[in-house]
Amino acid sequence: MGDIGAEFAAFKSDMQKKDQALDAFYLLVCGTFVFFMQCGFALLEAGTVRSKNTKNILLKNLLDACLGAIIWWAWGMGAAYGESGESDGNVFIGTAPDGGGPFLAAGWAEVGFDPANGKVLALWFFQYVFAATAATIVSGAVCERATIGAYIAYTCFITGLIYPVVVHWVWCDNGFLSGAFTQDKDKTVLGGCLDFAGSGVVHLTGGVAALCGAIFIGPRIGRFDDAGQPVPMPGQSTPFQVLGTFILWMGWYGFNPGSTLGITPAGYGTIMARAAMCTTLSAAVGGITVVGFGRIFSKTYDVGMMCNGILAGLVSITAGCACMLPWAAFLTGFIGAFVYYGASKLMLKLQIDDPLDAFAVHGACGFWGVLAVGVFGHPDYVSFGWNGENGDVAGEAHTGFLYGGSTLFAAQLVALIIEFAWVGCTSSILFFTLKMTGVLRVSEQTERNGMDPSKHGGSAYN
Amino acid sequence: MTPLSACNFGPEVTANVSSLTACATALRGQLEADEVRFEADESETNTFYLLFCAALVFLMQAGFALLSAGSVRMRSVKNILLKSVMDACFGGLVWYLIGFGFAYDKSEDGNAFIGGSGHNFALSGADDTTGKKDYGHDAVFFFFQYCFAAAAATITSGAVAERCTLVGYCAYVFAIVGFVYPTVVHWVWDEHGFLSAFNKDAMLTGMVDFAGSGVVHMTGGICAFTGAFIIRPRKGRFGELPEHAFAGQSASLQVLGTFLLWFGWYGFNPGSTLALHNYARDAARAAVTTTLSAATAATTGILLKRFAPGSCGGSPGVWDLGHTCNSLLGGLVSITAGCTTVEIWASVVIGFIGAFFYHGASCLMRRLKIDDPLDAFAVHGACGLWGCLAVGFFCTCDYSYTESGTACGVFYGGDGLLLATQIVGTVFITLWVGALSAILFSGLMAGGLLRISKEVEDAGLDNSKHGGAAYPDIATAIEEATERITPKRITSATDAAGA
Repeated sequence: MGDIGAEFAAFKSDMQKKDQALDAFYLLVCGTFVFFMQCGFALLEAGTVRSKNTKNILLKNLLDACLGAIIWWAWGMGAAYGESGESDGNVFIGTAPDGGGPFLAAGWAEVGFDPANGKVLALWFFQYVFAATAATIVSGAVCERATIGAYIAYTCFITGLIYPVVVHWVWCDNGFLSGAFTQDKDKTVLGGCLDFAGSGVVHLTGGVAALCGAIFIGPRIGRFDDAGQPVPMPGQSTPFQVLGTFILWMGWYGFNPGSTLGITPAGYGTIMARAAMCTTLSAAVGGITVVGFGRIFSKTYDVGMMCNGILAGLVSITAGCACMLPWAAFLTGFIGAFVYYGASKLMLKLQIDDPLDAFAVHGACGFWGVLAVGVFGHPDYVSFGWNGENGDVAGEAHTGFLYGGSTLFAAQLVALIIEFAWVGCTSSILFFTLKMTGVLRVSEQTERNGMDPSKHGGSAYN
Repeated sequence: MTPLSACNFGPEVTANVSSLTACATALRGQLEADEVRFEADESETNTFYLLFCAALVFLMQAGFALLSAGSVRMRSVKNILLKSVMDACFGGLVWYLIGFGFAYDKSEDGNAFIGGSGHNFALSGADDTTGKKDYGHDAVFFFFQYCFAAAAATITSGAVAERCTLVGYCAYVFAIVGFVYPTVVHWVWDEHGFLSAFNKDAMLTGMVDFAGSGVVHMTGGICAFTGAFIIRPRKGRFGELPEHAFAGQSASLQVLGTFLLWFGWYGFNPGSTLALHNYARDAARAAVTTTLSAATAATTGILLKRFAPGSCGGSPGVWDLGHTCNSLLGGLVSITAGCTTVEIWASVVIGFIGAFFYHGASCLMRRLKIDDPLDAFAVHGACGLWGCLAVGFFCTCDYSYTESGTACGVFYGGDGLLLATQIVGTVFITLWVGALSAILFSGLMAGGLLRISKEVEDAGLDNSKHGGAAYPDIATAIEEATERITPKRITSATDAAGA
């Protein structure tokens, strides 16, 4: 007859290993898609700047992916997830457990074969590509006039401090803003906010830092005439802009669904699929609304604006893609389009030159995206993103406004204000310092000639 | 099989020895059925995993195509793109017909030098049944290996770009994909190969080259070296024309190509576990080490080029985009051999040193006046060599996978045998690939089949052979502008009389 009990136990153990392997693979696939967004953003930026600055912006995109990886390995992952899993971790920033933990990947030397640790590595990879996304947003606001030195400085500062701290607050199980991960609700503010894939954590962070950068660095020469009106500075290549936008959209199918961080637990397949569906709808509606609205007001079908509209829709749905119904995703993208459009025009009115509309797309729509959860968060789905102690599930107050909830909306708003304040203050200090030391902006001569001939050995096109 | 209702103990089924035995039998039967289903699940997932990774590697063809297109002059863009397309297609046929068979044979007592049993020529031995053991493994394995072979072949095209004939090109793709590359694959990756870590009777410890710094990149890179050397530089490259006359036509395409290659490397390295189950940890580690090596190499490369003095190949004051891209790729090549066998921090060091290997080799090529438009030898040959050697230093005992006994790197208490094997392996690869490619290219050159004629080179390959410019609007604009500023040349007496 044999030892059936032992055989069952062995079978169960095999199943667990299989599940962990599948989860690791899922994170690798989704992470690879998000990595591809680096390429997408590089092309979008290249297409939007003038050709004399092509090499410069491309180099910045490469550097941001590379420097970001090194910093995330050495310090960033630790600052974000340092004592994850321990109940007494710091609520503000990750600290190093015994052995170092994620800092320099010191605590990850595996002894013997333990497939669970494959998931830790896959998670590092997934979080790295998110960090790289946040940092690269800023380059769009300061392009065509920022020095390489300034760029290196702010990439290090954002990936090493500003961003991982926000990650810790919202996505780590010790963070004081985490509705999804912090079990002890007394540690949180209003129970914590729900930001599934990072409208706030990633996009608001990047967008607000971008805004500060754009303000401190000042507009490009000739961008605003004496009357304060914007002078058109068309990008060099619409095909690059569109290719970049499509690659970003495609990458978002790793960004949003992948934020389940696994596929094997029960119900995760449904959540992943819902995220993909909501992402699609919001992007589509965002694009159509912007191009339609633009046609009404300016009589042209503006391709560049439509691209930004798609991205606005994508950013807007990023927080709530897992917890809304499809029609709500539709509305989220629709409203996001107006938020983007309004923010973009406002920036011009305030004479802030943001060539890629980084703040309007990521900052403003990121803000809306987090709020949208507070409006549309469905009672059946919010519980996925809200975890309490002793199985305490999201109560009635912790659902969307439209479903009778109130606390969730308040928690989202408070979290946004805190994030905005943190990113705004730290990046202002950063850019102010760079400006005062004369490191932030290139000389007028360099800017007029173009960065490529001055700093990169020649033109991008020969 | 007794149904599980046999375990429904209640009013109808009383618990006694015979009913308990019946229940146990039912449970056992159910468990066995579950185990069978579970194994099928694992096999099918493994197939999907390899398929996904292979698709990523395949996308590297696009990456290399665009990198090449961006790095050549505008007059040769169509040509290099056609060669990239042809390499994927023609290479695919050659690999199917003979390459795969020479690389991997399926017999029990295979040859140590080359796959000789003929089982895999034209995939005749492929197992396509839905029996328990396969689940598409043979087919997807072929696809994965094809993508690798195509990668090895396309490296060479970068070194002979802008002056190689299509005939010459087809000849070397045939030779490389059909013979030179598969033999190396057989030595290092087939379980019978004399250099293989999977062979208990291998030479020394057996070479640890996980995803192919040696097998793929050194092979391609050394072929690139001999090709570039024998075909000689592009006209005016070292002397008559200034350096910037040979600048690539589009830095944007170069970067797009680089990012696509990096993206595809996430299939190249992790996918070389060849299966997901029991190897997820290694695949995840490979993704992390790949990332850090690329990142460190690129960062090092840009600083090196900016701050090194001119006498050491630096360009003071210049943040060189092309050099950064190539350093990045060099970092990727450097980690390819050891991506699963080194610790995370070691991948940073490997990438760092890789940047120096790239920079040094690139300078050397220029000093030797060998024209390699894509720096193919420096990126793939030199960094491929470093990638193999690095394993001899940094391979940990826990992650090593040599069949003949655990072989550790020098920094982990190894006795140096692994390092020695890596050196021996790279020497074999260098001599074999170098000799065969030298014979091939010399023969083609002697037969006048390798290099395009002077007239074609002057007029440009696209105009001469491919029906016109790659960017017709730009070409027209340049023509019109040139006509306006250049006085018409008098070409005959009639003209002179007329003017």
